[in-house]
Amino acid sequence: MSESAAKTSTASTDRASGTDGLEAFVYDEKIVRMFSWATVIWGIVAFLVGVIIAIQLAFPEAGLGIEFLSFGRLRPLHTNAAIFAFAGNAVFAAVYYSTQRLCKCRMWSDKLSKLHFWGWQLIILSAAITLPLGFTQGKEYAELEWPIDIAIAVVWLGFFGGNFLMTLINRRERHIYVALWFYIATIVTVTMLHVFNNLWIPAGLVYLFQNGEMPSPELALKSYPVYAGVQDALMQWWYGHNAVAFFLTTPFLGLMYYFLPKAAERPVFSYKLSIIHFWSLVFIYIWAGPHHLHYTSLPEWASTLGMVFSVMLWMPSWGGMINGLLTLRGAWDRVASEPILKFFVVGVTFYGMSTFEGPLLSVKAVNSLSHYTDWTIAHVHSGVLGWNGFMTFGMLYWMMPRLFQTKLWSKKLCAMHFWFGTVGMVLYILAIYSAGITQGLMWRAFDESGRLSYPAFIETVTVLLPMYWIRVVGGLLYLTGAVIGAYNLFRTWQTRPEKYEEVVHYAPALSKGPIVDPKGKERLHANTALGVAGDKVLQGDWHRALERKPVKFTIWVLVAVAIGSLVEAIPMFMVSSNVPTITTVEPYTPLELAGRDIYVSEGCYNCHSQMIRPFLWETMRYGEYSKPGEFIYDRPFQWGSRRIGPDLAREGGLRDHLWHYRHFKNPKDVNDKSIMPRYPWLLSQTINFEEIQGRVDSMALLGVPYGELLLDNNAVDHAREQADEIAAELEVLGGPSMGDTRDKKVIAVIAYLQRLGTDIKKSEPEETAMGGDQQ
Amino acid sequence: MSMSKIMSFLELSVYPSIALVFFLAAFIAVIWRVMTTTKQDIDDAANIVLDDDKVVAPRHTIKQNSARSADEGVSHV
Repeated sequence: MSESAAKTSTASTDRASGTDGLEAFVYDEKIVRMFSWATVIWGIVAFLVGVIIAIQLAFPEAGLGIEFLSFGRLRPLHTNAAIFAFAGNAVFAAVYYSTQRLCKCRMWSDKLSKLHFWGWQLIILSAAITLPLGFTQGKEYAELEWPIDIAIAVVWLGFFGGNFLMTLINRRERHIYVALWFYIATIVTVTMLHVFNNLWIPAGLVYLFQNGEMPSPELALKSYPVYAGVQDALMQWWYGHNAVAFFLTTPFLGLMYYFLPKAAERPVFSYKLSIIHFWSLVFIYIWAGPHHLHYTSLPEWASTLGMVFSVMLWMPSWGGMINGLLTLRGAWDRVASEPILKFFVVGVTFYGMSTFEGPLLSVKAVNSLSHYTDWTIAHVHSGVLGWNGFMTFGMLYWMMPRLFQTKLWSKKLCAMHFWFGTVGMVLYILAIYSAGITQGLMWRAFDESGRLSYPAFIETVTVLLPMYWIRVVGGLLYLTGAVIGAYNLFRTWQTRPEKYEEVVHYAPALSKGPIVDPKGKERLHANTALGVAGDKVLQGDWHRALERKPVKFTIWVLVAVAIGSLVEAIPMFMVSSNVPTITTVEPYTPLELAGRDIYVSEGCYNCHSQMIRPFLWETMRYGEYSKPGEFIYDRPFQWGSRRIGPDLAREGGLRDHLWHYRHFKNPKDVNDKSIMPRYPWLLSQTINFEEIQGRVDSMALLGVPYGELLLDNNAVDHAREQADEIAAELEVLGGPSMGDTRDKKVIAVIAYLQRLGTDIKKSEPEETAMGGDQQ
Repeated sequence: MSMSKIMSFLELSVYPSIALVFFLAAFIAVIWRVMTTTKQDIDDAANIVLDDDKVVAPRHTIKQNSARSADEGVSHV
């Protein structure tokens, strides 16, 4: 076969054989180069947005009062860019490079590879546009709205997963190397997580079907999850935790098991350990999600389950770390002189640190201190910057010069990148660990008289500002390192040959069945087939066979992750006692619902929780602890994961409308130490009352009892009436005239905030327009 | 009787223990597989990553082609 013919062929068509049964093929390097550059570019974007929002926390005026630059909208952009754009593209580059080589064949379809690349970049671009515009589902790391969710499912499973699986099926290497197992687990589990956490009703489509028109782009993209409250929280953190596990851990372990031996030029320390590492992680990780919800309204059994499995995760995780570090046995002298190995060593070390800290934070006593503080933020950043970031940079520095068929332009710049990144990371996490522990201790401190030592929440925030500035410096150093790295790789690319050499590889096709060892492995000589079969089981043949069959292997991985998911989800959804009914809890009014949607859209959950834990220091600060039954109409739940501002679960009625109005206009007008940004656009932008009916109708489809509000546009009239009431009260309190505010977004948000946590204080259900049975 | 009522009779506090048993069974099976594998098999698998740019001869012609495959080993970069 000629080189050009081999180049254009794919795994499905390149069976034209050479001599002696050998088949010729050429690896698709171009797709790896494309994903590698995407990783570099999106990495810089993710780090840059991270630095911008870090500056905003230390200096809120940096947001300039512009809605598209507010912290609540940019923070999801930062997390999505870091996870799905930077780490995602790095994973794809690693998978496309290593899978072809480990399978000894070209990717099954070049067309699917390209569709995957451009589809994924389009998804990232959609995120970069929609998130600053305020289109969000309001669930961490799952913010992207429903049309993008569909695109993700198609690109991930259809283009990427299909192409990957077909490549495995058409491979020429009998044994499926352990790195590929981790890729299989990634593809299968992320699909499952994404689909089940993104089941929703699109409000715009509901309105379109009922009225034949679409009132606004906001409603067109708006969706409500099919889960509510506690169940939504369980699903979200089942997803959120396992997004870390199966998007930021398993594919990077696959990367580690491929690129670390390559860079060290020696096989992995223990292949046996890698097998135990794989199955233990896959089986245990999926159970651990509820540890994100300790002491919340989640049932205690689920919380304990999450903690037990989180602690168990420590051992396989460290098994993997030790396996990675010991792969460098006999090569430690090279670590001192090879910056690429330095990146890998620090990356694997941070994996060990993060996977020790994760189980530690899942222990309830520790979690009671760490939860809602910057400790969690520091933990996440040590994982993403240290483990994901450094493994990615190590891979890129090793792989890209080979892809460009040249040498790395500057080893010195590579070393400089390493030190900028390392120092930046250490500065960042040490400052933020200190911030987290400081704030957590201040929240729970009592004075001699038994009162809170720091009753004003703001006191526990302003004390952190010096640490926030150190974080800015750390982030800037890390970003600088990445820019240096990008420049170095760009200069490397410039030294590429005029035309890339297309190297033709040869390998035999796999025979139909396994090769029978002529010496035989059967130790039994009994005549019974059962005895022979049993002997094979005892010898572990069942697993060796599995390692050669990608489809069966995939199914068993799916079984492993599904067990943990079902054991948690089935009782949560089917046992009514998990969410005891509170008869006074009613659906949000149409205006409150519209206000809640603005709250979600602005990303308020990024700074404010709505979950009071059953601790004395929390109930003294915020009021009665939160009950599961209070959240049955919350779609999505808004419990949050970090308190940069105070909890809002009992905000209703605490302050008058005018206080809220002034607070949104400029928080410093009511609290001169506040670091909350201004929200002037809420005071000027108008509510689209017409679309409120679509929102109410969508919620009704999900079982919310809106009664007569579903008829004759009653929801719109009801919302206008309530808005007029609030605007009139605002005027009486000394605020702007009713005519200026009655149709402004701020009125809807005030309506929502004044409702929060008030239902539980009612003695019995009130007669409302909704009426009917609330359950 | 509805499924949710049947489920309500479950004693959920034993769930962590049941889950632990599930995991231990799977863990023991994997340990068994690992411990019963020959060193040769394990070494072959571990070395795939280092041999992935070399030509591999058809398994049924390993002997005939061993010399040839060594000659034609191609490094891709």
